[in-house]
Amino acid sequence: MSAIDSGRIKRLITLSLIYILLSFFALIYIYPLVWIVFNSLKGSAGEIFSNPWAPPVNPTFKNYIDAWQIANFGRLYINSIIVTSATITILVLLVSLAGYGFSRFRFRGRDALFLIFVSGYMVPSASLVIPLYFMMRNFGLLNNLLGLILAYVGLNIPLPLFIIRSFYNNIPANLEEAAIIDGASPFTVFWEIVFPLLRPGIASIGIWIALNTWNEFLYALTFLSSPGTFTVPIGLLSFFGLYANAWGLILAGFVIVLAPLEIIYMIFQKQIVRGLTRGAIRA
Amino acid sequence: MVPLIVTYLLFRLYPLVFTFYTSLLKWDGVRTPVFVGLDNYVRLFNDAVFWNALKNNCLIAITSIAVEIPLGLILAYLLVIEPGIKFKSFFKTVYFTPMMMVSSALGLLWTLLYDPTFGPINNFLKTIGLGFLAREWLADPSIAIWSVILVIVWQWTGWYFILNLAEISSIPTEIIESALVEGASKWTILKEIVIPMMKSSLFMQITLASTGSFMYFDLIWVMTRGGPMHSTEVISTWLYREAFFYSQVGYSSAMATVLTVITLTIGAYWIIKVSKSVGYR
Repeated sequence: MSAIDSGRIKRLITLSLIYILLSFFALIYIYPLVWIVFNSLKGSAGEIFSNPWAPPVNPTFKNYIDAWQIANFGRLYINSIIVTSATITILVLLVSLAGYGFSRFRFRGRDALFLIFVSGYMVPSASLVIPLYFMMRNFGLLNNLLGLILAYVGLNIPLPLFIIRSFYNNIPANLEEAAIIDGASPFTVFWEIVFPLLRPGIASIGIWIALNTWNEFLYALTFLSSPGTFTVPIGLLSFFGLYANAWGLILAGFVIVLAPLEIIYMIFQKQIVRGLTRGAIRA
Repeated sequence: MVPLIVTYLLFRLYPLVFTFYTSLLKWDGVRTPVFVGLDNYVRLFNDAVFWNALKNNCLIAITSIAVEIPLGLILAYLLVIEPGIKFKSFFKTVYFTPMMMVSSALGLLWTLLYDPTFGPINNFLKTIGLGFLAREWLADPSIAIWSVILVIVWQWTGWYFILNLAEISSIPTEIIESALVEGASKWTILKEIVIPMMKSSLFMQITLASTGSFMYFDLIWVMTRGGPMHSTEVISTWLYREAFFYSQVGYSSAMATVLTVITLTIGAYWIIKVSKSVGYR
Protein backbone atom coordinates (compact mmCIF):
# COMPACT_ATOMS: atom_id res chain seq x y z
CA MET A 1 0.00 0.00 0.00
CA SER A 2 1.48 3.36 -0.97
CA ALA A 3 1.89 6.28 1.40
CA ILE A 4 -0.78 8.25 -0.44
CA ASP A 5 -3.32 5.49 0.01
CA SER A 6 -2.76 5.19 3.76
CA GLY A 7 -3.01 8.99 4.03
CA ARG A 8 -6.36 8.85 2.26
CA ILE A 9 -7.60 6.07 4.45
CA LYS A 10 -6.58 7.95 7.55
CA ARG A 11 -8.41 11.02 6.27
CA LEU A 12 -11.49 8.96 5.50
CA ILE A 13 -11.51 7.56 9.02
CA THR A 14 -11.11 11.03 10.54
CA LEU A 15 -13.96 12.39 8.45
CA SER A 16 -16.27 9.49 9.34
CA LEU A 17 -15.51 9.94 13.02
CA ILE A 18 -16.37 13.62 12.80
CA TYR A 19 -19.61 12.84 10.96
CA ILE A 20 -20.51 10.23 13.57
CA LEU A 21 -19.89 12.71 16.38
CA LEU A 22 -21.85 15.50 14.70
CA SER A 23 -24.71 13.18 13.80
CA PHE A 24 -24.84 11.72 17.29
CA PHE A 25 -25.43 15.18 18.70
CA ALA A 26 -27.91 16.01 15.96
CA LEU A 27 -29.78 12.83 16.83
CA ILE A 28 -30.08 13.53 20.54
CA TYR A 29 -31.57 16.92 19.69
CA ILE A 30 -33.89 15.74 16.97
CA TYR A 31 -35.07 12.47 18.41
CA PRO A 32 -37.08 13.79 21.35
CA LEU A 33 -38.88 16.13 18.97
CA VAL A 34 -39.69 13.35 16.54
CA TRP A 35 -40.83 11.22 19.46
CA ILE A 36 -43.24 13.95 20.62
CA VAL A 37 -44.71 14.49 17.18
CA PHE A 38 -45.11 10.76 16.39
CA ASN A 39 -46.80 9.89 19.65
CA SER A 40 -48.99 12.98 19.78
CA LEU A 41 -50.59 11.74 16.56
CA LYS A 42 -51.46 8.32 17.99
CA GLY A 43 -55.08 7.72 18.84
CA SER A 44 -54.67 5.44 21.88
CA ALA A 45 -52.44 5.37 24.92
CA GLY A 46 -51.85 1.69 24.24
CA GLU A 47 -50.13 2.48 20.97
CA ILE A 48 -47.89 5.09 22.66
CA PHE A 49 -46.78 2.71 25.38
CA SER A 50 -46.52 -0.52 23.43
CA ASN A 51 -44.66 0.93 20.46
CA PRO A 52 -43.11 4.26 21.45
CA TRP A 53 -40.53 4.36 18.64
CA ALA A 54 -42.73 3.80 15.63
CA PRO A 55 -44.66 6.40 13.65
CA PRO A 56 -48.44 6.37 14.22
CA VAL A 57 -50.44 3.73 12.36
CA ASN A 58 -53.54 5.87 11.91
CA PRO A 59 -52.44 9.47 12.50
CA THR A 60 -55.16 11.58 14.12
CA PHE A 61 -55.35 15.17 15.32
CA LYS A 62 -57.81 14.29 18.05
CA ASN A 63 -55.21 14.86 20.80
CA TYR A 64 -54.54 18.33 19.45
CA ILE A 65 -58.17 19.35 19.39
CA ASP A 66 -58.74 18.00 22.91
CA ALA A 67 -55.54 19.49 24.34
CA TRP A 68 -56.29 22.88 22.80
CA GLN A 69 -59.71 22.95 24.48
CA ILE A 70 -58.82 21.44 27.83
CA ALA A 71 -55.73 23.55 28.47
CA ASN A 72 -57.38 26.61 26.93
CA PHE A 73 -54.34 27.31 24.78
CA GLY A 74 -56.18 30.11 22.99
CA ARG A 75 -56.36 32.05 26.25
CA LEU A 76 -52.74 31.18 27.18
CA TYR A 77 -51.48 32.41 23.83
CA ILE A 78 -53.44 35.64 24.06
CA ASN A 79 -52.09 36.31 27.57
CA SER A 80 -48.52 35.56 26.55
CA ILE A 81 -48.81 37.73 23.44
CA ILE A 82 -50.21 40.64 25.49
CA VAL A 83 -47.48 40.38 28.12
CA THR A 84 -44.64 39.93 25.63
CA SER A 85 -45.65 42.69 23.23
CA ALA A 86 -46.34 45.18 26.01
CA THR A 87 -43.02 44.41 27.68
CA ILE A 88 -41.11 44.82 24.42
CA THR A 89 -42.83 48.09 23.53
CA ILE A 90 -42.27 49.69 26.94
CA LEU A 91 -38.71 48.47 27.30
CA VAL A 92 -37.56 49.42 23.81
CA LEU A 93 -38.93 52.90 24.35
CA LEU A 94 -37.42 53.36 27.82
CA VAL A 95 -34.09 51.80 26.99
CA SER A 96 -33.50 53.57 23.69
CA LEU A 97 -34.21 56.97 25.25
CA ALA A 98 -32.06 56.29 28.30
CA GLY A 99 -29.31 54.70 26.21
CA TYR A 100 -29.16 57.91 24.20
CA GLY A 101 -28.70 59.85 27.41
CA PHE A 102 -25.96 57.55 28.67
CA SER A 103 -24.13 57.74 25.38
CA ARG A 104 -24.46 61.42 24.46
CA PHE A 105 -24.57 63.43 27.66
CA ARG A 106 -21.98 63.82 30.33
CA PHE A 107 -23.53 64.33 33.73
CA ARG A 108 -22.42 63.79 37.27
CA GLY A 109 -22.66 60.20 38.38
CA ARG A 110 -23.36 58.94 34.87
CA ASP A 111 -20.93 56.06 35.00
CA ALA A 112 -21.94 55.07 38.51
CA LEU A 113 -25.60 55.07 37.47
CA PHE A 114 -24.83 52.94 34.44
CA LEU A 115 -22.90 50.53 36.64
CA ILE A 116 -25.89 50.18 38.96
CA PHE A 117 -28.18 49.52 36.02
CA VAL A 118 -26.08 46.82 34.36
CA SER A 119 -25.22 45.16 37.69
CA GLY A 120 -28.87 44.21 37.83
CA TYR A 121 -28.08 41.54 35.25
CA MET A 122 -26.20 39.67 37.97
CA VAL A 123 -29.07 39.69 40.47
CA PRO A 124 -31.09 36.45 40.17
CA SER A 125 -34.79 37.00 39.65
CA ALA A 126 -35.43 34.53 42.49
CA SER A 127 -33.64 36.90 44.88
CA LEU A 128 -36.32 39.55 44.36
CA VAL A 129 -39.39 37.38 44.08
CA ILE A 130 -40.45 37.81 47.72
CA PRO A 131 -40.65 41.63 47.85
CA LEU A 132 -42.14 41.72 44.36
CA TYR A 133 -44.87 39.35 45.48
CA PHE A 134 -45.77 41.58 48.44
CA MET A 135 -45.63 44.69 46.25
CA MET A 136 -47.99 43.18 43.71
CA ARG A 137 -50.30 42.07 46.51
CA ASN A 138 -50.39 45.56 48.01
CA PHE A 139 -51.02 47.18 44.63
CA GLY A 140 -53.76 44.65 43.89
CA LEU A 141 -51.76 43.42 40.91
CA LEU A 142 -51.72 39.71 41.66
CA ASN A 143 -53.54 37.76 38.96
CA ASN A 144 -53.17 40.79 36.77
CA LEU A 145 -51.17 40.89 33.55
CA LEU A 146 -50.21 44.50 34.21
CA GLY A 147 -48.32 43.46 37.33
CA LEU A 148 -46.44 40.84 35.38
CA ILE A 149 -45.59 43.33 32.64
CA LEU A 150 -44.20 45.82 35.17
CA ALA A 151 -42.06 43.13 36.79
CA TYR A 152 -40.78 42.02 33.38
CA VAL A 153 -39.90 45.57 32.37
CA GLY A 154 -37.85 45.97 35.54
CA LEU A 155 -36.27 42.55 35.16
CA ASN A 156 -35.08 43.07 31.60
CA ILE A 157 -33.55 46.53 31.78
CA PRO A 158 -29.83 45.73 32.27
CA LEU A 159 -28.65 43.86 29.19
CA PRO A 160 -30.74 45.73 26.58
CA LEU A 161 -29.58 49.03 28.06
CA PHE A 162 -25.98 47.95 27.71
CA ILE A 163 -26.48 46.75 24.13
CA ILE A 164 -28.32 49.89 23.04
CA ARG A 165 -25.74 52.18 24.61
CA SER A 166 -23.03 50.33 22.69
CA PHE A 167 -24.93 50.95 19.47
CA TYR A 168 -25.22 54.66 20.24
CA ASN A 169 -21.52 54.79 21.03
CA ASN A 170 -20.76 53.40 17.60
CA ILE A 171 -22.79 56.11 15.87
CA PRO A 172 -20.47 59.10 15.41
CA ALA A 173 -21.90 62.10 17.25
CA ASN A 174 -20.66 64.54 14.60
CA LEU A 175 -23.25 63.06 12.25
CA GLU A 176 -25.96 64.54 14.44
CA GLU A 177 -24.07 67.79 15.05
CA ALA A 178 -23.70 68.35 11.33
CA ALA A 179 -27.42 67.87 10.80
CA ILE A 180 -28.26 70.29 13.61
CA ILE A 181 -25.96 72.91 12.08
CA ASP A 182 -27.81 72.34 8.82
CA GLY A 183 -30.95 73.34 10.67
CA ALA A 184 -32.64 69.99 11.28
CA SER A 185 -34.89 69.67 14.33
CA PRO A 186 -33.85 67.25 17.11
CA PHE A 187 -36.77 65.04 16.20
CA THR A 188 -35.71 64.90 12.54
CA VAL A 189 -32.15 64.17 13.61
CA PHE A 190 -33.25 61.25 15.73
CA TRP A 191 -35.75 59.87 13.28
CA GLU A 192 -33.78 60.27 10.05
CA ILE A 193 -30.18 59.84 11.16
CA VAL A 194 -29.89 58.04 14.48
CA PHE A 195 -32.82 55.65 14.28
CA PRO A 196 -31.88 53.92 11.00
CA LEU A 197 -28.42 53.21 12.42
CA LEU A 198 -29.95 52.00 15.66
CA ARG A 199 -32.36 49.58 14.01
CA PRO A 200 -30.16 46.46 14.21
CA GLY A 201 -29.68 47.17 17.91
CA ILE A 202 -33.40 47.48 18.49
CA ALA A 203 -33.98 44.26 16.57
CA SER A 204 -31.42 42.52 18.79
CA ILE A 205 -32.87 43.62 22.08
CA GLY A 206 -36.38 43.04 20.79
CA ILE A 207 -35.59 39.39 20.07
CA TRP A 208 -33.79 38.98 23.39
CA ILE A 209 -36.62 40.53 25.39
CA ALA A 210 -39.25 38.58 23.45
CA LEU A 211 -37.68 35.23 24.21
CA ASN A 212 -36.98 36.05 27.85
CA THR A 213 -40.50 37.27 28.43
CA TRP A 214 -42.21 34.47 26.55
CA ASN A 215 -40.20 31.95 28.58
CA GLU A 216 -40.44 33.59 31.98
CA PHE A 217 -41.60 31.15 34.57
CA LEU A 218 -40.84 32.17 38.16
CA TYR A 219 -42.72 35.47 38.35
CA ALA A 220 -45.67 34.13 36.39
CA LEU A 221 -45.81 31.13 38.74
CA THR A 222 -45.74 33.42 41.77
CA PHE A 223 -48.07 36.23 40.72
CA LEU A 224 -50.70 34.29 38.78
CA SER A 225 -52.98 31.75 40.38
CA SER A 226 -56.23 32.04 38.45
CA PRO A 227 -56.13 30.04 35.20
CA GLY A 228 -57.65 32.86 33.15
CA THR A 229 -54.47 34.90 33.60
CA PHE A 230 -51.96 32.09 32.97
CA THR A 231 -49.26 32.55 30.38
CA VAL A 232 -48.08 29.68 28.18
CA PRO A 233 -45.27 28.30 30.42
CA ILE A 234 -47.36 27.95 33.57
CA GLY A 235 -50.53 27.07 31.69
CA LEU A 236 -48.65 24.09 30.31
CA LEU A 237 -47.42 23.16 33.79
CA SER A 238 -50.92 23.22 35.22
CA PHE A 239 -52.24 21.20 32.27
CA PHE A 240 -49.48 18.66 32.86
CA GLY A 241 -50.34 18.49 36.54
CA LEU A 242 -53.95 17.57 35.77
CA TYR A 243 -53.42 15.19 32.85
CA ALA A 244 -49.99 13.72 33.57
CA ASN A 245 -51.21 10.22 32.68
CA ALA A 246 -52.82 11.16 29.38
CA TRP A 247 -49.60 11.18 27.37
CA GLY A 248 -51.29 11.73 24.04
CA LEU A 249 -52.84 14.97 25.28
CA ILE A 250 -49.65 16.11 26.98
CA LEU A 251 -47.51 15.45 23.92
CA ALA A 252 -49.95 17.32 21.71
CA GLY A 253 -49.71 20.17 24.25
CA PHE A 254 -45.92 20.13 23.88
CA VAL A 255 -46.21 20.47 20.13
CA ILE A 256 -48.68 23.35 20.51
CA VAL A 257 -46.21 25.13 22.81
CA LEU A 258 -42.95 24.29 21.06
CA ALA A 259 -43.83 24.35 17.37
CA PRO A 260 -44.53 28.08 16.87
CA LEU A 261 -41.17 29.18 18.28
CA GLU A 262 -39.25 26.52 16.38
CA ILE A 263 -40.99 27.50 13.15
CA ILE A 264 -40.24 31.19 13.71
CA TYR A 265 -36.66 30.17 14.41
CA MET A 266 -36.39 28.22 11.14
CA ILE A 267 -37.54 31.30 9.23
CA PHE A 268 -35.54 33.99 11.03
CA GLN A 269 -32.59 31.87 12.15
CA LYS A 270 -29.90 34.42 11.27
CA GLN A 271 -31.57 37.35 12.98
CA ILE A 272 -32.49 35.36 16.07
CA VAL A 273 -29.05 33.85 16.58
CA ARG A 274 -27.43 37.24 16.09
CA GLY A 275 -29.88 38.90 18.45
CA LEU A 276 -29.34 36.38 21.22
CA THR A 277 -25.56 36.10 20.97
CA ARG A 278 -24.97 39.84 20.74
CA GLY A 279 -24.86 40.46 24.46
CA ALA A 280 -22.89 37.31 25.17
CA ILE A 281 -20.11 37.26 22.61
CA ARG A 282 -18.00 40.11 23.75
CA ALA A 283 -18.59 42.76 26.32
CA MET B 1 -34.18 58.57 31.37
CA VAL B 2 -36.35 59.40 34.36
CA PRO B 3 -39.00 56.74 33.61
CA LEU B 4 -36.26 54.12 33.35
CA ILE B 5 -34.76 55.17 36.67
CA VAL B 6 -38.16 55.10 38.36
CA THR B 7 -38.99 51.65 36.99
CA TYR B 8 -35.62 50.32 38.01
CA LEU B 9 -35.83 51.86 41.46
CA LEU B 10 -39.30 50.47 42.07
CA PHE B 11 -38.93 46.97 40.66
CA ARG B 12 -35.25 46.17 41.15
CA LEU B 13 -33.48 48.35 43.71
CA TYR B 14 -36.25 48.73 46.24
CA PRO B 15 -36.90 44.95 46.29
CA LEU B 16 -33.18 44.36 46.75
CA VAL B 17 -33.09 46.59 49.83
CA PHE B 18 -36.38 45.14 51.07
CA THR B 19 -34.99 41.62 50.80
CA PHE B 20 -31.94 42.52 52.82
CA TYR B 21 -34.04 44.27 55.46
CA THR B 22 -36.50 41.36 55.64
CA SER B 23 -33.60 38.94 56.11
CA LEU B 24 -33.10 40.51 59.55
CA LEU B 25 -36.68 39.77 60.58
CA LYS B 26 -38.64 36.82 61.80
CA TRP B 27 -41.69 37.12 59.61
CA ASP B 28 -44.33 34.78 58.21
CA GLY B 29 -45.63 37.38 55.77
CA VAL B 30 -48.82 38.02 57.78
CA ARG B 31 -48.17 38.81 61.43
CA THR B 32 -46.07 41.68 62.74
CA PRO B 33 -42.40 41.02 62.00
CA VAL B 34 -39.89 40.77 64.82
CA PHE B 35 -36.35 42.05 64.43
CA VAL B 36 -33.94 39.18 65.07
CA GLY B 37 -30.63 40.51 63.74
CA LEU B 38 -28.49 37.87 62.10
CA ASP B 39 -30.48 34.88 63.44
CA ASN B 40 -31.65 33.89 59.97
CA TYR B 41 -28.07 33.78 58.74
CA VAL B 42 -27.04 31.59 61.65
CA ARG B 43 -29.92 29.27 60.85
CA LEU B 44 -28.85 29.24 57.20
CA PHE B 45 -25.35 28.27 58.19
CA ASN B 46 -26.73 25.25 60.04
CA ASP B 47 -29.24 24.21 57.38
CA ALA B 48 -28.10 20.99 55.68
CA VAL B 49 -30.62 21.46 52.86
CA PHE B 50 -29.13 24.85 52.08
CA TRP B 51 -25.60 23.43 51.88
CA ASN B 52 -26.78 20.66 49.63
CA ALA B 53 -28.54 23.20 47.41
CA LEU B 54 -25.35 25.24 47.24
CA LYS B 55 -23.44 22.09 46.32
CA ASN B 56 -25.93 21.36 43.54
CA ASN B 57 -25.57 24.90 42.17
CA CYS B 58 -21.80 24.36 42.14
CA LEU B 59 -22.20 21.01 40.35
CA ILE B 60 -24.30 22.70 37.67
CA ALA B 61 -21.66 25.41 37.31
CA ILE B 62 -18.81 22.91 37.13
CA THR B 63 -20.49 20.77 34.47
CA SER B 64 -21.27 23.83 32.40
CA ILE B 65 -17.58 24.80 32.51
CA ALA B 66 -16.14 21.30 32.20
CA VAL B 67 -18.62 19.77 29.76
CA GLU B 68 -20.90 22.22 27.93
CA ILE B 69 -18.33 24.85 26.97
CA PRO B 70 -15.55 22.41 25.88
CA LEU B 71 -18.05 20.27 23.98
CA GLY B 72 -19.52 23.30 22.23
CA LEU B 73 -16.02 24.54 21.45
CA ILE B 74 -14.86 21.23 19.98
CA LEU B 75 -17.97 20.77 17.84
CA ALA B 76 -17.60 24.32 16.54
CA TYR B 77 -13.88 23.87 15.90
CA LEU B 78 -14.53 20.70 13.89
CA LEU B 79 -16.91 22.56 11.60
CA VAL B 80 -14.36 25.31 10.98
CA ILE B 81 -11.22 23.20 10.64
CA GLU B 82 -12.80 20.66 8.28
CA PRO B 83 -14.10 22.77 5.42
CA GLY B 84 -15.21 19.59 3.64
CA ILE B 85 -17.96 18.82 6.16
CA LYS B 86 -21.38 18.88 4.54
CA PHE B 87 -24.76 19.81 6.08
CA LYS B 88 -23.11 22.51 8.21
CA SER B 89 -26.19 24.68 8.35
CA PHE B 90 -28.26 21.62 9.26
CA PHE B 91 -26.06 20.93 12.29
CA LYS B 92 -26.10 24.59 13.27
CA THR B 93 -29.89 24.71 13.11
CA VAL B 94 -30.39 21.51 15.06
CA TYR B 95 -27.95 22.21 17.89
CA PHE B 96 -29.65 25.50 18.64
CA THR B 97 -33.21 24.13 18.86
CA PRO B 98 -33.29 23.75 22.70
CA MET B 99 -32.59 27.49 23.03
CA MET B 100 -35.95 28.10 21.38
CA MET B 101 -37.87 25.86 23.77
CA VAL B 102 -40.03 27.22 26.54
CA SER B 103 -38.12 25.96 29.56
CA SER B 104 -41.16 24.56 31.35
CA ALA B 105 -42.03 22.53 28.24
CA LEU B 106 -38.44 21.34 28.01
CA GLY B 107 -38.45 20.16 31.62
CA LEU B 108 -41.81 18.43 31.29
CA LEU B 109 -40.68 16.74 28.08
CA TRP B 110 -37.73 15.23 29.93
CA THR B 111 -39.98 14.16 32.79
CA LEU B 112 -41.74 11.94 30.27
CA LEU B 113 -38.50 10.78 28.63
CA TYR B 114 -37.23 9.77 32.08
CA ASP B 115 -40.47 8.05 33.11
CA PRO B 116 -39.40 4.74 34.70
CA THR B 117 -42.24 2.62 33.32
CA PHE B 118 -43.24 4.14 30.00
CA GLY B 119 -40.39 6.51 29.25
CA PRO B 120 -38.42 5.96 26.05
CA ILE B 121 -35.05 6.04 27.82
CA ASN B 122 -35.64 2.97 29.98
CA ASN B 123 -37.53 1.46 27.09
CA PHE B 124 -34.54 1.90 24.81
CA LEU B 125 -32.15 0.43 27.37
CA LYS B 126 -34.36 -2.65 27.71
CA THR B 127 -34.67 -3.03 23.94
CA ILE B 128 -30.91 -3.08 23.39
CA GLY B 129 -30.41 -5.55 26.26
CA LEU B 130 -29.13 -3.06 28.79
CA GLY B 131 -32.20 -3.29 30.96
CA PHE B 132 -30.06 -3.46 34.09
CA LEU B 133 -29.13 0.18 33.48
CA ALA B 134 -32.77 1.28 33.63
CA ARG B 135 -33.34 3.57 36.61
CA GLU B 136 -35.91 5.70 38.33
CA TRP B 137 -34.03 8.67 36.93
CA LEU B 138 -35.81 11.44 38.77
CA ALA B 139 -37.16 9.50 41.75
CA ASP B 140 -33.91 8.00 43.01
CA PRO B 141 -32.25 10.55 45.32
CA SER B 142 -28.79 9.21 44.60
CA ILE B 143 -28.91 9.97 40.87
CA ALA B 144 -31.70 12.54 40.43
CA ILE B 145 -29.35 15.53 40.40
CA TRP B 146 -27.28 13.95 37.62
CA SER B 147 -30.42 13.27 35.59
CA VAL B 148 -31.28 16.95 35.93
CA ILE B 149 -27.76 18.04 35.05
CA LEU B 150 -27.84 15.86 31.93
CA VAL B 151 -30.88 17.83 30.74
CA ILE B 152 -29.05 21.08 31.43
CA VAL B 153 -26.08 19.88 29.39
CA TRP B 154 -28.46 18.89 26.60
CA GLN B 155 -30.10 22.31 26.77
CA TRP B 156 -26.94 24.45 26.74
CA THR B 157 -24.26 22.67 24.70
CA GLY B 158 -25.81 23.96 21.49
CA TRP B 159 -25.66 27.51 22.80
CA TYR B 160 -21.92 27.27 23.47
CA PHE B 161 -21.50 25.64 20.07
CA ILE B 162 -23.08 28.65 18.36
CA LEU B 163 -21.17 31.19 20.48
CA ASN B 164 -17.83 29.51 19.85
CA LEU B 165 -18.57 29.02 16.18
CA ALA B 166 -18.99 32.78 15.84
CA GLU B 167 -15.77 33.37 17.78
CA ILE B 168 -13.65 30.85 15.86
CA SER B 169 -15.03 32.07 12.54
CA SER B 170 -13.86 35.57 13.39
CA ILE B 171 -10.23 34.39 13.59
CA PRO B 172 -8.59 35.28 10.24
CA THR B 173 -8.46 32.10 8.13
CA GLU B 174 -4.88 32.83 6.99
CA ILE B 175 -3.60 32.23 10.51
CA ILE B 176 -5.09 28.76 10.68
CA GLU B 177 -4.23 27.95 7.06
CA SER B 178 -0.58 28.91 7.38
CA ALA B 179 -0.29 26.81 10.52
CA LEU B 180 -1.76 23.87 8.60
CA VAL B 181 0.73 24.41 5.77
CA GLU B 182 3.57 24.38 8.28
CA GLY B 183 2.37 20.95 9.32
CA ALA B 184 0.82 21.75 12.68
CA SER B 185 -1.75 19.18 13.76
CA LYS B 186 -5.33 20.26 14.22
CA TRP B 187 -5.12 19.54 17.91
CA THR B 188 -2.03 21.78 18.20
CA ILE B 189 -3.79 24.57 16.30
CA LEU B 190 -6.74 24.39 18.67
CA LYS B 191 -4.48 24.43 21.71
CA GLU B 192 -1.82 26.89 20.59
CA ILE B 193 -3.71 29.30 18.34
CA VAL B 194 -7.48 29.13 18.63
CA ILE B 195 -7.91 28.90 22.40
CA PRO B 196 -5.34 31.61 23.23
CA MET B 197 -7.03 33.94 20.73
CA MET B 198 -10.39 33.27 22.35
CA LYS B 199 -9.20 33.73 25.88
CA SER B 200 -11.31 36.75 26.76
CA SER B 201 -14.42 35.27 25.16
CA LEU B 202 -13.94 31.97 26.98
CA PHE B 203 -13.42 33.78 30.23
CA MET B 204 -16.67 35.64 29.66
CA GLN B 205 -18.47 32.39 28.80
CA ILE B 206 -17.22 30.82 32.02
CA THR B 207 -18.35 33.83 34.04
CA LEU B 208 -21.83 33.86 32.54
CA ALA B 209 -22.15 30.07 32.77
CA SER B 210 -21.31 30.24 36.47
CA THR B 211 -23.71 33.04 37.33
CA GLY B 212 -26.37 31.39 35.20
CA SER B 213 -25.91 28.17 37.17
CA PHE B 214 -26.79 30.00 40.36
CA MET B 215 -29.93 31.47 38.80
CA TYR B 216 -31.40 28.10 37.78
CA PHE B 217 -35.02 27.59 38.75
CA ASP B 218 -37.55 26.72 36.01
CA LEU B 219 -36.27 23.39 34.83
CA ILE B 220 -35.68 21.97 38.30
CA TRP B 221 -38.98 23.21 39.66
CA VAL B 222 -40.83 21.63 36.77
CA MET B 223 -39.00 18.30 36.88
CA THR B 224 -38.53 17.56 40.59
CA ARG B 225 -39.51 20.62 42.68
CA GLY B 226 -36.19 20.07 44.45
CA GLY B 227 -36.98 16.51 45.49
CA PRO B 228 -36.82 13.61 46.10
CA MET B 229 -35.69 14.33 49.65
CA HIS B 230 -34.18 17.68 48.63
CA SER B 231 -31.62 15.86 46.50
CA THR B 232 -32.09 18.20 43.50
CA GLU B 233 -32.66 21.35 45.51
CA VAL B 234 -30.84 24.50 44.34
CA ILE B 235 -30.79 27.74 46.30
CA SER B 236 -33.59 29.36 44.32
CA THR B 237 -35.97 26.39 44.68
CA TRP B 238 -35.26 26.10 48.39
CA LEU B 239 -35.83 29.79 49.06
CA TYR B 240 -39.02 29.66 47.00
CA ARG B 241 -40.35 26.75 49.03
CA GLU B 242 -39.38 28.35 52.34
CA ALA B 243 -41.14 31.59 51.41
CA PHE B 244 -44.27 30.43 49.62
CA PHE B 245 -44.93 27.00 51.15
CA TYR B 246 -43.55 27.31 54.68
CA SER B 247 -44.14 31.07 55.16
CA GLN B 248 -40.55 31.54 56.34
CA VAL B 249 -40.28 34.93 54.66
CA GLY B 250 -37.44 36.28 56.78
CA TYR B 251 -35.38 33.12 56.51
CA SER B 252 -35.99 32.90 52.79
CA SER B 253 -34.88 36.52 52.39
CA ALA B 254 -31.60 35.70 54.07
CA MET B 255 -31.09 32.98 51.51
CA ALA B 256 -31.98 35.40 48.70
CA THR B 257 -29.44 37.88 50.03
CA VAL B 258 -26.70 35.25 50.13
CA LEU B 259 -27.61 34.18 46.60
CA THR B 260 -27.34 37.77 45.37
CA VAL B 261 -23.94 38.19 47.00
CA ILE B 262 -22.73 35.00 45.30
CA THR B 263 -23.86 35.98 41.81
CA LEU B 264 -22.65 39.57 42.13
CA THR B 265 -19.23 38.31 43.26
CA ILE B 266 -18.87 35.84 40.42
CA GLY B 267 -20.35 38.32 37.96
CA ALA B 268 -18.09 41.20 39.02
CA TYR B 269 -15.80 40.49 36.06
CA TRP B 270 -18.70 40.88 33.64
CA ILE B 271 -20.01 44.00 35.36
CA ILE B 272 -16.63 45.74 35.31
CA LYS B 273 -15.99 44.80 31.72
CA VAL B 274 -19.41 45.92 30.57
CA SER B 275 -19.47 49.21 32.41
CA LYS B 276 -16.01 50.11 31.08
CA SER B 277 -16.66 49.07 27.50
CA VAL B 278 -17.17 51.94 25.13
CA GLY B 279 -17.95 50.42 21.81
CA TYR B 280 -19.56 47.28 20.67
CA ARG B 281 -17.83 44.94 18.28
